Amino acid sequence: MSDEALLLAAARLLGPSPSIEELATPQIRFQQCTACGFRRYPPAPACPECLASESEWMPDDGVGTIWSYCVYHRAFDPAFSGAVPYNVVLVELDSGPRMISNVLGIDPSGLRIGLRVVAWPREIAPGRFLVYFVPGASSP
Amino acid sequence: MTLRRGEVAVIGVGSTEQGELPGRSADEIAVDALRLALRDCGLEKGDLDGLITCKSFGGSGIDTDIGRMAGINPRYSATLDYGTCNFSLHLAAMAIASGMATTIALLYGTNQRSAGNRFRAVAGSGAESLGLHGFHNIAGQGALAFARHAHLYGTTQEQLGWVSVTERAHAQLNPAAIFRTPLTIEDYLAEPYLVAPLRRSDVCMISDGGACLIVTSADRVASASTQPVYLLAMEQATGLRQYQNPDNLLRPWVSAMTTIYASAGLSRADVDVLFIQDPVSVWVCQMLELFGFCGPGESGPFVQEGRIRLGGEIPVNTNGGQLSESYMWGWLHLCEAVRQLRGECGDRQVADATFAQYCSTKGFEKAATSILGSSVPS
Repeated sequence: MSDEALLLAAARLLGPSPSIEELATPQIRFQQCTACGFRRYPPAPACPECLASESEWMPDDGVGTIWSYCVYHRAFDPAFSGAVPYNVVLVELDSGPRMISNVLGIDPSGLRIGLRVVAWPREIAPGRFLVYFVPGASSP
Repeated sequence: MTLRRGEVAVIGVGSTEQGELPGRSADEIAVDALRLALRDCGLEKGDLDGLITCKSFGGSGIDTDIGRMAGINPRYSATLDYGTCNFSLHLAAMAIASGMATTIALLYGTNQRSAGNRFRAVAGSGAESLGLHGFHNIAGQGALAFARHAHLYGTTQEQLGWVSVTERAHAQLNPAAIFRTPLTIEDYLAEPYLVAPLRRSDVCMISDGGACLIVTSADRVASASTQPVYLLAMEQATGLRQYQNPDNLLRPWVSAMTTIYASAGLSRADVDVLFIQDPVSVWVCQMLELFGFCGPGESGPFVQEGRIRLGGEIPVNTNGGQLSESYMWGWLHLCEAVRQLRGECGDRQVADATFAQYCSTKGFEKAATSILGSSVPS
């Protein structure tokens, strides 16, 4: 897998307006309920724990663990044909949220469940960041 | 209101040719299945006072469109936007039990193979960026779920392969099945990965076809020329919080439905033939464990030892399932369950099949199960 091909595929599929999970800066952050403190993902208008609507955006250290991973050998969308084989992971952040993403800078043989990873938001288009992960506890 | 055991029965079943049906709309195919099901039970379309359709690829499958095409004015009609037939059957049972209708046709038709569905849809829902990370096709979620199962329990790819190999062996006994060429475990293991750790044979095909069930109240079964198959119990569960549920891809919330055996008046061991909706082979392993046919984590050895084969402890998907018979979003599993309980399955007939169970899911968000019987336990 080439990381560049993966980012390029995302850039080709990027919609005209930002999806709710995109970031405007490289700082990963989540909505945190001001009533009960639950940190939610994906972004939502109400807290799925207590239904309160007020929340504030809190920076997150983005550190988590791979819950599971898989490796795509086929590009179901042609945008990814230059990226196969590429991994998709489900990461559980220490702060709670669970995210589907890709781990960059790793060979598929290096992936394992339980691997510690950290978020590394990458700028896919000017001012539009997507959250990727890299192994370790601090992003490059 | 509790549905009385056996208060509702399936009296008619119809399924069209499966595979490639070019030049036909999905709704036309659905109406073909309706005609076959009416012929099966000797009813006329005017005997129907209910219609429950299922949305299909390309926006087809809407009750108001199909009702017009079929030329019927049923008292009650509805469209469910998720298939598997199980949810449709449950809605029909509720409509009948509440007096909204007495005799209901459940319909599904699809032309997605001819119409060029490439199953490019993102795997899962709830987040908009899944496609940007290349998380396409249901195989992605299946692969994550199986990798986790392998991590927790040591389940091997060969063990998983026995699901597809077993279903293919069953399909070879089903003249209506699309994939009937032999598949050995060696063939399976030699296949390239699709989404590792899954291979091509772990994921369902894309095919055209139609299916219909006709359901009525127990006091009307004599109007049909067929042997009634009774709905003994039904259960649903959801995990609508999706990724906010811990371990959601393992669907732990499904196990809440094991109360169905007591509702049906039998024990799990009384189930003679089991149907599990199988867009991905991994679903079979999950349901065997979640409903308690084997212990947690034991599905790998369970399928490898041949216990889900015809002649085994609990034959699963005797039609070949979605992996080998046809896609059909799980609808043919219920058709096969009815035919098994009528004793119409020829070389793949389970001897003295009296009780059948069907377990199905809508993504990783909803699940349903039904137990059917050729007789009603007292």
